[in-house]
Amino acid sequence: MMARDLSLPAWGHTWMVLFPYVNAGFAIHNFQELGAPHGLHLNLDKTKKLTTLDPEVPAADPDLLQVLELIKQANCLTCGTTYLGSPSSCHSYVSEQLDSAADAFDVSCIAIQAQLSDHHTQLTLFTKCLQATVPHLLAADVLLWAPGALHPIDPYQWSSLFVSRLNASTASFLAYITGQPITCFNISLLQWFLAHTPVASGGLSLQDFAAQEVASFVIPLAHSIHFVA
Amino acid sequence: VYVAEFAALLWPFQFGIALVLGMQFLVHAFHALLDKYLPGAPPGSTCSQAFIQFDLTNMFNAASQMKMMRYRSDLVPIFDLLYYDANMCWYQKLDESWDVFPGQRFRSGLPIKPFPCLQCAPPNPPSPTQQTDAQSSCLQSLGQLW
Repeated sequence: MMARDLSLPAWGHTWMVLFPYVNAGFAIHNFQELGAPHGLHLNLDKTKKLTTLDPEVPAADPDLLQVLELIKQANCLTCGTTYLGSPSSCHSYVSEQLDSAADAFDVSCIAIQAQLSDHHTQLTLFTKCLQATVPHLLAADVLLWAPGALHPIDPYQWSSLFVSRLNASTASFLAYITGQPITCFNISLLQWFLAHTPVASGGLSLQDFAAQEVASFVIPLAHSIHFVA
Repeated sequence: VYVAEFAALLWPFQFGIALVLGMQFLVHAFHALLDKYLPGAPPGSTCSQAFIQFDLTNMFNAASQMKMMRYRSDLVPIFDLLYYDANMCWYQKLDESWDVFPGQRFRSGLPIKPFPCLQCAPPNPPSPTQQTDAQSSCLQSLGQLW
């Protein structure tokens, strides 16, 4: 294979490779030919091509036409993609994806409240399942807003629309689970702190996204530096 | 129980197993390459490269699980654990009775599948009938083991 700079593997059967235009079609053809004897078959319905982050600036090159013939037109991405669950692209695309994620969080939060009756089960699903769907998006939120954020940034109190929406959903869930009316539920700092304290220490073990957001960005970035330097 | 054995087999090519956000460094690397090579990225980027996101047909389900277990018989207890009652997810209904989510015992995204699959992937994808037969056979054998 002629991956010139870096091949980025992901979960077992999906991965991203950077190719010079001239080698992209050759790579797909040869992967199919060489992989078949080993049981590896490309799914051309899901194989995608990303050549630009701005639909107004198309990457026109004759070598790319060869690739276009192999994969579906809908899989020729022009404004970004989602890789390992994280949206990667221009500001509007990432912002739209984070909005969708916050919407989905709200919907699931309401579903847990409406469709189940046992508070213990509701709380377990909220903390262990629903809140666990978010952490991989926090780094994308930091990357989106950090350039325009007011410095110095407090690493333990990140503020953004995405985190505010998640916190609002969490507060409404806390109001529900504690039997308070959501409309006049004004949570104090102490209550918020207690809700996010580990169960072993007497809390509810909720995740505090504002506190973990900057760390979710910085620590993996430190791990990745030697791959891209 | 199997941490050391998995680590020896998977290292240094797997980063995300048993580590929270362990794959996120790949996302950062991807961002950096996007900015460096694609049009529409910050000034200074070049326009001569394309990202191809490869996707394989479902190799893990195509591979014979019987062969997987023969190759890694020491993993049979883990297969048992993941495919049978220990993996059932219970919930309470509004009438206060309890039920399980149907069809949740089979984990097609089983994280340890890739490396046994590499040892016994078939040369061609099986037909849906062959696949169903293989799965039935596998479940029957597992039932006997249980």
